Amino acid sequence: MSVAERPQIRDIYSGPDSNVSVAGFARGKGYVLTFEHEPTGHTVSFPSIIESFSDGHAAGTAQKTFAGVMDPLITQAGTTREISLSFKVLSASLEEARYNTQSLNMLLQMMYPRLTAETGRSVGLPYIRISGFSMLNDTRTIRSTKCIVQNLTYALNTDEGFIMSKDTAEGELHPISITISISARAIIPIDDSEEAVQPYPIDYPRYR
Amino acid sequence: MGTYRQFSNVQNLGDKKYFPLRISRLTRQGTGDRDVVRVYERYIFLTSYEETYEANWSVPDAPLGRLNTKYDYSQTTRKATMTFKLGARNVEEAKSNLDFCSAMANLVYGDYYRRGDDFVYNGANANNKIKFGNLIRNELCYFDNFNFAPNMDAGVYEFNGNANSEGIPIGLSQDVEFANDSGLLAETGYVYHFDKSKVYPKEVEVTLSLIFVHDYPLGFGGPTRGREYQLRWAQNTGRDWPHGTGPIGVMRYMQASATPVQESLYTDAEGNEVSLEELEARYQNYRLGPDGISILPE
Repeated sequence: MSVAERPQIRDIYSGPDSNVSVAGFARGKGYVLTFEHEPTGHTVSFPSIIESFSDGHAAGTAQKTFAGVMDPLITQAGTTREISLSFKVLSASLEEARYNTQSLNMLLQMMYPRLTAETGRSVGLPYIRISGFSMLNDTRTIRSTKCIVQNLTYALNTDEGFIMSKDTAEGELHPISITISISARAIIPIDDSEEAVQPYPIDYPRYR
Repeated sequence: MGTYRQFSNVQNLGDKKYFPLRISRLTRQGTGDRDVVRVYERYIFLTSYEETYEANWSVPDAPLGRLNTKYDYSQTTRKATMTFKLGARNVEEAKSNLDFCSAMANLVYGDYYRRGDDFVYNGANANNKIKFGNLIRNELCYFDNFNFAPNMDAGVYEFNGNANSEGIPIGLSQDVEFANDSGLLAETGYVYHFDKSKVYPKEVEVTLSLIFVHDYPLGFGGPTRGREYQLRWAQNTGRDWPHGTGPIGVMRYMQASATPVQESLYTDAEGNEVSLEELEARYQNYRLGPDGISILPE
């Protein structure tokens, strides 16, 4: 009988150069941004160097106006929550740059689903749970937010320079600074406890 | 002299420390039964690089009062946009840069081949491959945009018809001396040419946009992995994806595993492909109907 594999847990860099890198500082302060790929349980973390963040809640409304009636008649179907987040990934040495590239590979792969063993069809849809940023929480107890990430951009900050290597025939170019930008829609958590007065948690969303 | 590629400093430094941008273009020749691969390669000065992963989710309107709608995922598209500069320290390098740009502009047009007197349109040209070190690892792609912008402020190499001390036009003299590798002209001394009315820019900026086309599975698990390795990356090559990480080892979930023997697939009543195991599990409480084809509940 085979033993089921455990999900891969990837922490921030802790190698010999971490004392001179932002990773050591982030670890000390607890500034660690973590992404979990729900269908596999794989997680990857980065020092939380947030460049921008916005959290928009938009009511899906339709308005109708009637002659002689001053205010529109408003019907509301639901409310959506759109999240934009961008953060930097910095590398202080070749070793850290390789480590970060590997971590970023994992994050980029999280944009893909889990496939069936038989046919390769998508089954585990790529929901991603983001945690570690104190202003992005569902509730006081759920310190993360589950999202569908619609767009993920990986941009090299070329003006900040590169770390190059020719240790392999392929050659390596690792930017000192990479910006990751994410556009996502949050999945609203449901509170179905008996004392709940509304379907979503009373302290949703939690900004602190 | 052989084909001049790039200024010697750039070429030597590139050979030692960097890697070139390499584009391979596969085209059909003649009646369509002969494929030709043309390779274009150049050391570039990268000024921006961006990859985008667009997950295609259908997000229907939520029914009245419902908090979460039913999200359906179809696929993820990987795109890249890169901008780079090509500098020219002499006339020959400027010409070579322009030829390289012409070849790249060509990539954006569709794929055609000749049949008799006609050209047959073969659709989008998705047979191109691009390689740029560990960032783009010889991937199939479709080029959807190319932009060429000479930087006129950086100057141009011009025609010069004035005679030198020997009475030969300077442009012509430099063309001949450089072509013959005479040693009388330094590499950076070739600054005039004899192509009247033509100018060759000292710097051009190129922007290239492409959509990657993967000829391997993308996702976790799948048929290329055994049942016990369904949390691993489907590509199953034991190397990092999408970007190379040099000589360091890959993470456990990226390690290669033995490719399982492909199970036979059956088609269920809805036309979906299922394994025999799944088919048996689904129909265990059913029996064959009197016609020997239909399945009836027990």
